[in-house]
Amino acid sequence: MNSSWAREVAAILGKELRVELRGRVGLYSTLVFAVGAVTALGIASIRGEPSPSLAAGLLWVALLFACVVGLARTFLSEEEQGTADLLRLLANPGPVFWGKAVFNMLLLIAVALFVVPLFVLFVKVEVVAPFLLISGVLCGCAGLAAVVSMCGALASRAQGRGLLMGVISLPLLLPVLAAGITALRGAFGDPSAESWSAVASLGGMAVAFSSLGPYLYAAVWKQ
Amino acid sequence: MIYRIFLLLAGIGVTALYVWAPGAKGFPQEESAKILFFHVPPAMLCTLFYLWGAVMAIRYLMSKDLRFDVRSVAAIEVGTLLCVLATVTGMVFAKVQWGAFWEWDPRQTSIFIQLLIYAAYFALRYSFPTPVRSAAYSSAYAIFAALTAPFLIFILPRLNLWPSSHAGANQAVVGGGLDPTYRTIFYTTLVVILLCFAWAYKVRVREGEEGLLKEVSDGLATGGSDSPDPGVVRPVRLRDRD
Repeated sequence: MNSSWAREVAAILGKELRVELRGRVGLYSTLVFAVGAVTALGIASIRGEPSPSLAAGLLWVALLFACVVGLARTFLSEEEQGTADLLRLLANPGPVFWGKAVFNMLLLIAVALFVVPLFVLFVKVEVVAPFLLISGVLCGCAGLAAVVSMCGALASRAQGRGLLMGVISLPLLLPVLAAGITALRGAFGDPSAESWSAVASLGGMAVAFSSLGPYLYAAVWKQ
Repeated sequence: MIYRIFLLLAGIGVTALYVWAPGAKGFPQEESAKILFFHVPPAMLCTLFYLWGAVMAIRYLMSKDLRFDVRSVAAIEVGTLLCVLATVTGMVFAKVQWGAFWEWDPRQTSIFIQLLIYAAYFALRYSFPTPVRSAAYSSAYAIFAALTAPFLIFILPRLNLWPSSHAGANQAVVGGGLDPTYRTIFYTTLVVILLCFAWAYKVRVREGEEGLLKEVSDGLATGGSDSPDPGVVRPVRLRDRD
């Protein structure tokens, strides 16, 4: 990793952060969607506490839909606002992908920091392993952000990109969700779950997807 | 022609072997468990075709030769056909052996997720206006999708997400627990199914390459990445003024 590459990543990340701080569209839309989903789940569980397995699945569903709605914007909005061509002239594809993927990860982690405690409070689920919960959510958010960033990059120039984004990202997110559910099952008190293996595989997925992403983005960058 | 006759004879041979094979010991329904001859090979081969599709996608992205894209999409189409076959035969197998068509067995779930991932490939592929852009983006997706295969096949089923009904069957097929007669029939069936679908792949590639030649001669496949579809321009006759 050379310094100019790191500088380019930092510049793209800084640009995304500045755009977000000016408009806060991504943060608000992701947060409102996730909080709305958690509220609905809380209402659904008024009459009974869900099992660890169900609670883990519900939490990931809330984060999943929030991230598909909010994170794809980073790539899609460049095409919608007509700034993508300028970016292609001024920057290299690898740093652009990494800058946007890191921004997506930070945004999703920020949303998760608010949503996970709210979920525990509303759904009344008991957390027996807080460190496992934090590790699982962090690694899961990294995996979700890597996949959604790649899908956003692939769908950004397609016809009906908003709809297509959901279609291509949901199936690719299912392996991440399956491992994420196993990780959180242990955190919510299911002793049979191999949760730390699931956290390790979530980390592996995040590394694998985010490593391959820049190369694939570079291959379609000027198509 | 010889290849087709060979495939026909091989198909008849495999059917005869299926009828002749004894019931599979260790399964609740021994006689109907013989469906594994037609269930396990498609499940194994679909992954093979998907990986081949990813290899051709890499070659396309490196060379920008649309013939590799044709091979990639042909492999993914054949792989999807095999994946559907494996899912449907798996459901029949599950109903007969375990009493339910679907019970979220890890293997059943992972192959279904794989099917969804490649169904999305086709949605992406047909969302671009030009063949060149469609080829590039769907190739990138095919490579990304192939990266999920190791997680779906090797890692997720071992995470104890759900109790597996496949454990005995997997041990029998992969762990070498099949008796010699069964092993011979199983691998013969695997080879015959591979040859059948390799033939289907070859036919699809030929058809795709002919379509490519037609598009090039019609001027539809454009070299420039951002050029719009020019459509077919036909000569027009101008009328004389008088």
